[in-house]
Amino acid sequence: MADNEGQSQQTQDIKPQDEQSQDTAPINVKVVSSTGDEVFFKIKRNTKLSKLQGAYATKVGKDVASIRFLYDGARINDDDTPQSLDMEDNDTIDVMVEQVGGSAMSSYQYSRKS
Amino acid sequence: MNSRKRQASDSLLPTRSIKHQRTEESQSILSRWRKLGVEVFRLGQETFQILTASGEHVESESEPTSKPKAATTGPSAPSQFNHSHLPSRPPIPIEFQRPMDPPRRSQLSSSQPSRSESSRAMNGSAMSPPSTLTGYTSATSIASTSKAENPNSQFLKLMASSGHSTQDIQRFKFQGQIRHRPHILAKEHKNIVQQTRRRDREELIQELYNLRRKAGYDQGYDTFKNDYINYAGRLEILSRRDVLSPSSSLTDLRAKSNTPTLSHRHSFSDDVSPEFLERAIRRMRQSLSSPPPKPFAPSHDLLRRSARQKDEKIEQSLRPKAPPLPAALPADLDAQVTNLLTKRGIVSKIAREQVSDKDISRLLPCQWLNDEIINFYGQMILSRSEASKENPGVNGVVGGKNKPLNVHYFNTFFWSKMRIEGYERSRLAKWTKKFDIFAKDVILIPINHNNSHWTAAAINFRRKRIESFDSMSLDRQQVFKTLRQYLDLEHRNKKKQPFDFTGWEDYDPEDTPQQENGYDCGVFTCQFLESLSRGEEIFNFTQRDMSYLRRRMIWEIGNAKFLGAP
Repeated sequence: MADNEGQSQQTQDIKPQDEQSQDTAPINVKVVSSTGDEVFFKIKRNTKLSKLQGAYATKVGKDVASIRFLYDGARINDDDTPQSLDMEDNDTIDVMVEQVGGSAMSSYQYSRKS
Repeated sequence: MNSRKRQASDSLLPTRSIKHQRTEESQSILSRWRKLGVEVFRLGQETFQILTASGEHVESESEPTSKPKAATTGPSAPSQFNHSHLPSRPPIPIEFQRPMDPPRRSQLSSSQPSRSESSRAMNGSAMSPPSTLTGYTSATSIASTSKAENPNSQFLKLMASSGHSTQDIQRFKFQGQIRHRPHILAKEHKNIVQQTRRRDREELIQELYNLRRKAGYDQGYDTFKNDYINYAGRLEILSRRDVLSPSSSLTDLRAKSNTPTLSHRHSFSDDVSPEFLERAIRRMRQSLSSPPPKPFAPSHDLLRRSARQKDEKIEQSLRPKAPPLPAALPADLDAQVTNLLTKRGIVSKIAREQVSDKDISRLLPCQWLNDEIINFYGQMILSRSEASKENPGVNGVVGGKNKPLNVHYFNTFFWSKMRIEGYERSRLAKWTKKFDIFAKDVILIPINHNNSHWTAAAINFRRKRIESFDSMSLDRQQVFKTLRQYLDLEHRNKKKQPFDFTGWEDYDPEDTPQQENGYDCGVFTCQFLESLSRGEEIFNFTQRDMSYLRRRMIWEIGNAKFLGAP
């Protein structure tokens, strides 16, 4: 289900914005949420990934500040580009939600773990 | 005869070793003989003058001078002499009384019927040790004295028989012999004194016995009285004389000068002096009235405390503890912290991590920490490790205790990925494409449990341990299981063979510092990771230090460097 939604539109949104000059053609990037939802983007190698992040946040209806984008475990900064991160075609970006923790107060968790 | 008989039964008389007495006696006799010689010479001279004047009895007077040396004994002689002469004796001049102690004299005379006895007292030969020391009966001593007396008495008899003037006789008496007739009530008086003393002594012994009983003496009264007291008294007398009495063949000068003759007059042969009893009672009372010594019985607490102190000492010598953390930041740093908290937007950046004012405000007291803070702190740890790898010695002593290990820090999402999606699906192999985790000392992993709890885990390659540090000490078997799984898969992926777990163990120390509230686990986790990155296994912080550590973390994150680092 998730596949259908993501693939269709998003590719077009980002491509037209930036100059087509330079080295390459746009690459396909898959953004996967922790729940397994996937969204596909087509993005030029020198386009800032912050655009992708903003587009994704609006797509899923969340505040950008509350989600984290990881590429191979490393946090993606606002001024990173696919080029700076050595991204390849069909690479995956992981989206994580904010994690908090204070204590393991709930017994529910304890029993579930053990 | 009469006097001798009475004295034999008189236990009051002081006795003394015969040998002793003889030597002293012979000494005094010698001197007396010398004086006697002088006297005889003078007497002869005077007699001659008188005779030449009157022209009478020249031959009969010259004989007695040699007679005393024959030493013929006659016990009855002195009494004869005295009885005939005393009544007519004139008073003694003052200067002649000097050598005699008047009170002593009177006391002695009250109980002393015989002349020989009084002479002994005056000559000093009667100064004998207490009767308890020597078992000799008074009869023998009297026998010896009476023998020794003989020369004098003989001479007096001769003088008396010769009908000399009283002046001459008196001059002789000054040399040593003065005699009183006993008082008619002397006997009764003596008996009363004896009885009183006996009764007093009995009372004292009884009292001492009662006191002793209180102190735990459990023998009968008779044993106490007859054996113990006498023995103790004798021991005391001996010790007061410093040494045992010298050989009996020597003259005991000290005994002669120190021992009072008076007290022995009424003492009993088998008795100790009442002074001794009084002292003993006084001592006994003192020791009874003083508080009893407390037996040393260490309580359980005391034993435990001393055991703990020993443990701490050993622990201290094995692993010198770092000084405890301060209660608060220095004033200038604290001001900087306050300043940092007023910033808006992105407050600090390090490598790919950044924190905003919202994130950093979570370090204020009682707030849960989020992944941004933890990852930022983890990135600081990682950067420090990498910095020290490139430039060893940057963090102080090379190879010292604080030298950062070669660590890798996986961010907080590693656990979520591995736990929820698994190694393959979350493409964790790509996370380590730029380095080899098996070449590291320690892999640090913060774990978020169900978005409510932070713990720290580590893969310790140096010690071959999978470690879990939980400030709530919950069961973390899942951590070990998942991390072992990861290690194996990573090893298969990178090294193309299964990971060798021989010698590896799960490490879940019981003495992990524990949080005491519902919000500090993030701080604990950060501090666990930081300590682990320095190879520290004893964590130098507790719940008490949390407010300080939160404050310090604001400073450290705000300045993107550890406190105390260059």
